[in-house]
Amino acid sequence: MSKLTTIDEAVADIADGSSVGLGGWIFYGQPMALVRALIRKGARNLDLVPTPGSIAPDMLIGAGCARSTVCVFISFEQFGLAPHFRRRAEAGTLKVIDLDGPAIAGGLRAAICDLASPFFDAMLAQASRRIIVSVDRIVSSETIRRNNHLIKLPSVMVDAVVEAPWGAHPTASPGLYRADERHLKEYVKASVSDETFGAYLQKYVHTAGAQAAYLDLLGGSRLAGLSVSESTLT
Amino acid sequence: MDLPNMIDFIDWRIHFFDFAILSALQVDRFGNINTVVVGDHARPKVRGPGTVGISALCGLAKRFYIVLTRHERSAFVPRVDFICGAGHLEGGDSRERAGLPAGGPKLVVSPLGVFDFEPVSKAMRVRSLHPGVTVDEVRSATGFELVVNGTPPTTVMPTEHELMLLRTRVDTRRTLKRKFS
Repeated sequence: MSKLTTIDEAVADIADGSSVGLGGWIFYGQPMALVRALIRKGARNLDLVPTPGSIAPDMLIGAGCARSTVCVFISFEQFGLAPHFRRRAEAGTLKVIDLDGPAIAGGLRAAICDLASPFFDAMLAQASRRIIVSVDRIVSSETIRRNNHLIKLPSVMVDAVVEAPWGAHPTASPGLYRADERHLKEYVKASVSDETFGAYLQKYVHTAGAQAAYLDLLGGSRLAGLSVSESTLT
Repeated sequence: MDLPNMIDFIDWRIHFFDFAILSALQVDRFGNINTVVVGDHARPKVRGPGTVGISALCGLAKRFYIVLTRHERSAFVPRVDFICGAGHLEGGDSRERAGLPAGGPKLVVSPLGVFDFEPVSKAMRVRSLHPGVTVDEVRSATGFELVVNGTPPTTVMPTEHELMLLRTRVDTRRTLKRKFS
């Protein structure tokens, strides 16, 4: 049976109150197309388990989808503290479970080895009952075989695959596109009040709807400017 | 080997960092640092970004340095609200008694001066003050009693060459300059 599905179908049976892992690494590979789909669906009371993250956990928290989150690191780095994570935690309306451990130290070693790849993802997948993967593109089995050293998750671990080009936007997808700093700043700026954040969600999540419309909204020249030329695939 | 698996095989005492440089929401008298919360964890006054790898860095790196971009009583506190990076814990030999390798915080750098830790009590001590800063000024901006031995020297300023390297080789995108000037 094909594991290919659409974004909205992929998240359709994630029940309110589910525990949801979010992969990526701060401004790399945040599963934003799936996050926007969860917000559109009106998910509630999720317990988030993000790897070190930024906009993925923050947007779900800001949109009222989460009741708790694990926190290894949730921040907007040079753009400031994560606005909604901060606000809800300070208001006492978000339960935060702070975590640390040797795994995080390992992450720092990875960063030093210049492996900014979201390397906690394989661990996260092994710890999850259902795994939805959002990918920028689907390639032939031949390409996968030729680059088998790059395989992060073997297919047996994957339940559903969503092809969402630019699905990590505004964070980066190594080898394909950089983080969109302008958009990250726009998000932080929009997060100063419920009203402005509501307008942001309306524009980029609800009205835009499916990923194609989201990309049209961003515009071709904007996306072209974020593209990187080198690829990890041969 | 996959990195998550590799973690199990690393002997941190041998392979860990020589030193780390960290910032924080709060630092206390014994060099413990906090990036998690100011105030009560369940309803914090400030919610910070989290622990990241700070506990491992402060606990296991051979030594570490603390750099704060503000020197106020709210940042230099008697006791951090949440220890995510272990400094000298309760002072004296409490760090070693807790099972952590010796080392810990070596220097604290703030906009007012440079601080180290008195060898026996492990309490924070004024090592030098930046040009124009007085002992009274740094005392009133600090939330605990600093150790002051005599008249502290003036901090040696970076040389033209060092500044040139920082401005042209390190901060090539002028991120730091924009943020702190």
